[in-house]
Amino acid sequence: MLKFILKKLLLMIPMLLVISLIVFFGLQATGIDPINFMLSPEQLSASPEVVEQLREELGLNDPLIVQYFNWLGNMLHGDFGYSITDGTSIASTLAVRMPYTLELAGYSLVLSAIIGIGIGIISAIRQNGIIDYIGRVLAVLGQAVPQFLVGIILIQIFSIKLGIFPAANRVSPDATNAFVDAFMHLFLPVTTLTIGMVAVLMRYARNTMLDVLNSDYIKTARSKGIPEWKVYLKHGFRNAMKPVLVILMFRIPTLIGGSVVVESVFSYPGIGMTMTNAIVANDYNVVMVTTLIIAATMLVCSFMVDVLNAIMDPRVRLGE
Amino acid sequence: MKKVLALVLAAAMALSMVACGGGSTTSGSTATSGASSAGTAAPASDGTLKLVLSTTDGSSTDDKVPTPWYNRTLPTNLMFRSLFIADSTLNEVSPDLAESYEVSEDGLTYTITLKDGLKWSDGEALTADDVLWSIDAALQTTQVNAIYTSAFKKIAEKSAEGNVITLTLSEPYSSLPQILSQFAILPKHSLENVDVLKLDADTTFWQNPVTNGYYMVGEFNVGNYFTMVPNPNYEGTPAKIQKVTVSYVNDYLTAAQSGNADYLYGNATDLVEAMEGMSNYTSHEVDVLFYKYFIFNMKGTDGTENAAMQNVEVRKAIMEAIDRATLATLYPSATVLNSGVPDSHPAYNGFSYTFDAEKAKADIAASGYDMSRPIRICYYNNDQTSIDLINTIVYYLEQAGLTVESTLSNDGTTDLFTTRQYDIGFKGKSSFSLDEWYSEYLSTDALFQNIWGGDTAFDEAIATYSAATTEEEKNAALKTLQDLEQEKLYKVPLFTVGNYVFTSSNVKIPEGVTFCNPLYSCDLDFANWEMA
Repeated sequence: MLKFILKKLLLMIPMLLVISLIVFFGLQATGIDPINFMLSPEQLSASPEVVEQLREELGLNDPLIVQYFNWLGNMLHGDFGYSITDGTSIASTLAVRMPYTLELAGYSLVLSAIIGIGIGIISAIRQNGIIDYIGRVLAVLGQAVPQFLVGIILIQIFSIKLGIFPAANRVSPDATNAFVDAFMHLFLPVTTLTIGMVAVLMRYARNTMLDVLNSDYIKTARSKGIPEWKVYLKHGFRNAMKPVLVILMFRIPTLIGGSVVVESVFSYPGIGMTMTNAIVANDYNVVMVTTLIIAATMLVCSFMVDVLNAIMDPRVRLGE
Repeated sequence: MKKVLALVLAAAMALSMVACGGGSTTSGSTATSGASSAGTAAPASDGTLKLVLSTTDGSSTDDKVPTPWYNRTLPTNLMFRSLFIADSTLNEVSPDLAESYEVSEDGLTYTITLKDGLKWSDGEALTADDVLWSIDAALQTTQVNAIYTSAFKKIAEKSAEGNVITLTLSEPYSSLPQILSQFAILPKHSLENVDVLKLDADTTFWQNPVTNGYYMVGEFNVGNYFTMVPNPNYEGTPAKIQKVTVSYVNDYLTAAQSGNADYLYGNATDLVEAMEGMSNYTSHEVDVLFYKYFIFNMKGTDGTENAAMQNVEVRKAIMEAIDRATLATLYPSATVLNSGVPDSHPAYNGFSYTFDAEKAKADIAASGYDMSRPIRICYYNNDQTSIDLINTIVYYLEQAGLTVESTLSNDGTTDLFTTRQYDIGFKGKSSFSLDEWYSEYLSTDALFQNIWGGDTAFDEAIATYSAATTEEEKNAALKTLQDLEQEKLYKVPLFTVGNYVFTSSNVKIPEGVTFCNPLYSCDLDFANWEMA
């Protein structure tokens, strides 16, 4: 098992290197000069000497390959560099923003798992019943309507028309109760992120549960006279959840990536909004690091899925 | 399976813990919190002035107070003062941190006397040294409005003796007081050890800056907001409003609609239309010199010419082919103009470009322009109004018999001034004054010399205008500049776009207050603003 985990971990290193190469040279290939986004055209005109000093200080006069290895070396030492547009440390930016994004993604993941899997299982057990029909319609809607539209609709209804929830930020200046304030600020963005994910999980849980319920060992269990609830929970649910857990795990990086849209709509100060602002401002130091983080999250989740599979299914290890 | 479920639950709990503890950093003195029974933002008018800063227009990031040396937004205007304070036209100035000032007869020496007993919010004395250090730092840092660097480069010598500052210029520059009325003085004692190149990036300072205005920062919550509380060392009449909150938002309109902005500004059509439809907001139209204009790609510094644009008759015909009055209707408030000087200005020379599609067609044909060669337009504003505007321009030029290719650039500065694969560039420029518009013609301008070949034709007239001290001298110099501009036709303004300031009914603005360009600072009698 240890050998299996080590092998998977080591495989992540070349993958991350390749991703870093693609991200770095891909952004360089755009031909965008970051200096043009750090300074106004007027300032570029007025102070060519400051521009040159800045270019030198940022290492922009070095050959590309030197810039890449400098950047990679610094990353390995935990120095993620500085934002091109405002000069702030990317590490400190991440330290502040990442918990916000994890919070948003985490609540959404838990909620969507409970709601999506719950409705999916009930839909399978009561196939072609009212919950199944409603669930299927909602699943299609949840997947078809883009997140930004859901967010805007929720803001219009619950923030602007009804004035119940705040439309932006994560903390209010005049909050007296941190828990209530957090709940009020998180409710709409978490709901937005959850709706799309519930739809996916619901459909997946329903289909796998239906497959399991039609299998021979379920029929055997029933023929033995085991109570129906026990058949569903112990034999059906347990076996149906394995592929659902894999899907759930792979949704984690999607949630972090997906929060780019939701955070922008709700002015939520997480990694997603940092990335959006960096893209708009052509701050490619920040874009590179945030992209790498999302890629690394994907690799870690993929690794965790492999490990989980290996724990739950010994055939995986046999096949290594 | 039980273990797996337990792991998932533990992860969820850990995330919750991280969330409860992470994210915010606070600094500075404690701010009394506006009492609201729920944990959320209180409804409008709880005695707190609610301001917003946008994180999407490039002028601010949500991890620090924006530097007042780039754009002067209302929050920074309330925290940082200048030697002088301007009126709403930004032309007339009166002393602020300064007690008085004198200019020598030759216009080269400015003697400025600071008020006695000025203090920073941390109790340190505000001295002439702070002024001199600020001027030096502005010349070396990156995030700074070019009006300061252009002006301060003309200061040959500066000295201070007690409260008296002497600035000696290398050439007369009559707009120096106006520039100084915008230039915020920063505390030397807090910033002298910071890397001056990245002065604005020092979050330790900018999350809790030492200020000299009405307010200082009470609490800073990264990514969300900061509060402003009265500066105990402010020597003037204190503001009646005791607390101000400044939230970082992506969208001003949503902030206004949800009651979280008592003051905002903008010129985008959708924002202005929506705001004017809200009965609890008052709109204040502000005339600003925000030019939308064409630049023609003529010649590089190496002498390489763009042959297609060399004939001035072609450029004139292009202007005749475009109905600028119709284009101006794309904006909520735009004024067509025919030179850098607005038609309403006393120095306007009376010339105008007339829209005449048939004449334009005939003139282009007569100019000998190769009609099979497409005219290439390069622009970089990707908002829908700009895209609509370019599409309409393309239509007009096609009506004149030309074929047109338009390109939306991701990096306008490189494409317009380095790559130069275009004939007509479409630009925007928010100018502090007419100087800024005309200074682009200087042969030494680091950007525009790349497309106009460093032509020296304007240099003398610009120097004359800069040195002019009386209205008559200035108007005469402006007429010369307009004549040259219309003769050379290197760039042509289409129109200026007006701006709007919106104030909510939660705030009572004193009688007689006129708003100025919201990206600059002027006297708004803020001490007498009250919450309704």
